[in-house]
Amino acid sequence: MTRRNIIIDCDPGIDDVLAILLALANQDKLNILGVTTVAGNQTLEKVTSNLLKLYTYLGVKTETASGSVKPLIRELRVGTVHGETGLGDFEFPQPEIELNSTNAVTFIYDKIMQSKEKVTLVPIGPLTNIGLLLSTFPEVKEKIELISLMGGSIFTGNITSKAEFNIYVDPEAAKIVFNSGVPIVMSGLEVTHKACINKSEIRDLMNSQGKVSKMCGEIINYYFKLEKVTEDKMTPIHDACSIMYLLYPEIFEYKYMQIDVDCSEGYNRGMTVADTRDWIKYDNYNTKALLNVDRDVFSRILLNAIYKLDNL
Amino acid sequence: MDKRNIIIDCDPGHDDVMAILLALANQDKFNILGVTTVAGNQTLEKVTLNLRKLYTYLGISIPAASGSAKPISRELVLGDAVHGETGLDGWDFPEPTFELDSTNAITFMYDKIINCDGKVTLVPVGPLTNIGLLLSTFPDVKEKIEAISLMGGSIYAGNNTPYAEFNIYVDPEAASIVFNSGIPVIMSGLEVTHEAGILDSEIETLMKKEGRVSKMCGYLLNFYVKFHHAEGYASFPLHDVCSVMYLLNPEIFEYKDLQVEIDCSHSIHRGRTAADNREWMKYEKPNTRVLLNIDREKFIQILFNAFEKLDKICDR
Repeated sequence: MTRRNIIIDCDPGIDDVLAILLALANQDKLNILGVTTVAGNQTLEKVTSNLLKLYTYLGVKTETASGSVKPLIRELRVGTVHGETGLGDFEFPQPEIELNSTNAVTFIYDKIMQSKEKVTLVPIGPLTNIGLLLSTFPEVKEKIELISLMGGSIFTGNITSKAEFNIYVDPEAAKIVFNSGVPIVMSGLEVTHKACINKSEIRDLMNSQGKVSKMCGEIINYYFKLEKVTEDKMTPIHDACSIMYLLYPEIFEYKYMQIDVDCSEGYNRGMTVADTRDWIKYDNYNTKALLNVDRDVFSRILLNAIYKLDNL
Repeated sequence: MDKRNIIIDCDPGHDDVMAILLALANQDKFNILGVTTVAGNQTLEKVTLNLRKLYTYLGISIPAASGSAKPISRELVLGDAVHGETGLDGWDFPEPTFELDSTNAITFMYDKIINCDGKVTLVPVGPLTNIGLLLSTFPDVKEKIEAISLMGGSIYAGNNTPYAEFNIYVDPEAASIVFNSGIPVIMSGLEVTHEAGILDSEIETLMKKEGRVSKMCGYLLNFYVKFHHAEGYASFPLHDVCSVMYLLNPEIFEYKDLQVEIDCSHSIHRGRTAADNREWMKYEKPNTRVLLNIDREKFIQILFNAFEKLDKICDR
């Protein structure tokens, strides 16, 4: 099997870290051309520092670049669930790694154009970098296999009742991506809220002696500090879905849908509006919307990946 | 006097041509680093073809690049009602022999600006798509941009809609990036461009001239004013010329420094350049110098002189 070329565009972010780890553990299937950052869960400075800290901690390195400081036209609104640093309260070492570039847009462009095969983009933060890439360099479109993104929702939002955070932050960039003609696989809240880790799995991670698993346990556990913890409580690992789909598409349920993005200032800002009328048919749906996942299989694969990295 | 480094970003377009000609005639004051195109008055393909035709007709070769085929996040709206099927109806141009230096106006501008010793003034006279993408994709250029002298917007009444001027209406998101960039903006909006008009009699004068530039301008404008005749105008605004003219002769303009925001909604206010007109509101640094009036006769005189100068140069 040939390895799939991917570029991960992220704003680490607790669940971003899990997505990156899942990819790192599967480099026999994924050829990671680079990891780029964008402001979202926290400021660009913080999320970029988090990525470099993570790499320093792991002692691994893919190529990296920092990207957009703010959404295309709106002011930045940072997330609230990832803490002040953006990575909970785990103490990472000071970063000892340098970025390969401070312009994620040209970095991604160069990587795509230099690649012999097509490239899959995996954006799991606001879509600012990807929107700029597709607008500034429209010729990349034909070399992009797929955009497997985390963002949006068909029915209910999270940051507002209608909108999911990543799309809400930069709706204009999302609109560019959804209307680009490049096939989209959308891991929206319908599926990510099924892609959960439960409390006992997190406890196992925290009690582990492995360098990676212990760190994962502690950063995921930060989510629980924000709310009243009960034994049966589970927490979604949103961003991991976009990588998981590339590895194990068969564990997901999905539906092809036509989706546009609400760029208004109004109540529906950032809503990914799907045409859910059953009798309306489109020739080419722009989005494969993931709707459900086998949680037990999902968490088993994710945890195996984490424990696997302990040994590397 | 130091020459000012400029890049003209345009969608030719009749008034775009006049703006380019004014700049070409004043190369003792301007160092024209390049001319780039953007979809607006017509499709990117057509406006780029028009620029190449103009270059070929004039026998000049300032570096040129084509840019964005559509607005950042909206579908393209064309200004073909004013500029005709080709975007430059009214004159038979030769088939173009001039070839573009680049088909990516954004990286073209970026390279020109970064490699320029001094600061650069941008003169966008079409939708702001290329400039918005330049500032977003390469935020490091901002400190090397002296000012952005643009044609677009209006404080009171629009043209494409009651509230919005065409260039801003086409790509409000790009305009929002530009006006909020922190770079000083000089806005030639409809208030001043409607004063920068040419009369029928002046167009007739041009058409009767022998010089190949003056005559071409006469015929182009003769087409251009057809639309404005139908609208009941007495003189015909040469919108885009204002943005270049201001850089040459700021003293013939009246202006006011105002804080201007762009309406990026999908409502009836889409593309409005909303200025804070409240007299009692003070901003430390209003983002925009809004040109409001111009000495029309001097404007025409300077423009005609430029055409005549080019008549002599291009006749060689």
